[in-house]
Amino acid sequence: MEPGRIKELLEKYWKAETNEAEEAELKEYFEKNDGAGDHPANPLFKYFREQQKLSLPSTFDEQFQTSMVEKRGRVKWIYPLMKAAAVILVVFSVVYIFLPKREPLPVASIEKDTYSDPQQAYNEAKKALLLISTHLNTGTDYIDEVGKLNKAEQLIHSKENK
Amino acid sequence: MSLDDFNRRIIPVRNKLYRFALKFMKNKQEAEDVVQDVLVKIWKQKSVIGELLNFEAWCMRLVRNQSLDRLKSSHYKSSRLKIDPETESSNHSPYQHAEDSNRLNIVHQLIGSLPGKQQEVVHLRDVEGFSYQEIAEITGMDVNMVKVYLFRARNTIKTKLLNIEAYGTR
Repeated sequence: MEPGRIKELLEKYWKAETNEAEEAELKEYFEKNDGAGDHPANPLFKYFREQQKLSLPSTFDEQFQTSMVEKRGRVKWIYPLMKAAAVILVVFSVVYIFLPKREPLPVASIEKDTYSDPQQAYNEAKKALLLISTHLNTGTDYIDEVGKLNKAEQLIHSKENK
Repeated sequence: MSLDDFNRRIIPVRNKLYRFALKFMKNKQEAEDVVQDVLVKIWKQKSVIGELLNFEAWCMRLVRNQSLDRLKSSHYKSSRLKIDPETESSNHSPYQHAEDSNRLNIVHQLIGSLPGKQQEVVHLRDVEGFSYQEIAEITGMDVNMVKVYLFRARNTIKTKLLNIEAYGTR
């Protein structure tokens, strides 16, 4: 290649104006003329070539394949388990939906007498009513206090009217 | 998609993914972990692979995001504190045993001193040979910004290389 051409390409290269073909031309020139070595750009292009040689270690592929196979194996093992869980869920759902539900108690059975002996029924009813009345009477003491207030209010009103 | 089909698509790009991850992580083991995580992500999204316009750029974008997430993670930050600084510096350049290691080390450090986005753009363009459009897709930048970053980066590299050539200083 003409030295003038290299100079021209390099000028464009430093200004980042070269296209891919021109850069390939430059790379090819410096690769072929590596022995000359006195050009300031030579170590730069050599550096790029050295960088291109960097590669993954040979053990990488083996390690990666092993890890991938292990992962896939694990996934394959999980699928049947998930299928079994889904089947169990469906069976439970079907049983729940279609199982006959317990009928509510008929009204007649609720209204039926609980005691056959009238005296015993009377006693039980009396006991229940007594219990209610006892609880009803609790708190009536406070009503007396309210009554006093009412009397006082009436007195005030009657005095005002007079 | 079977595992074999997946491998057929991944094998041509996986070293590019690794190199790009290495740009961010600056540590081989970390970069390998990023690639492994990304490959698992790609496998999980295998159903969308057929719809992608540019599979390679999509994968590179995943690597970028994964690397940045990892750098931000608290686990990564705490593990970095445990790294011996001497070990870190000895891993700094891969060219220590090369014949012209000195000049390559200078370029390595020179590019390493560029701002992060400029380094990314230089790597994607000059090492991996992506188009401006693809770089924009990978980095999420506008195409014009990609050109601006590349111009700034190359301009800095040129100035420093010429200084080294003329005066032996950076």
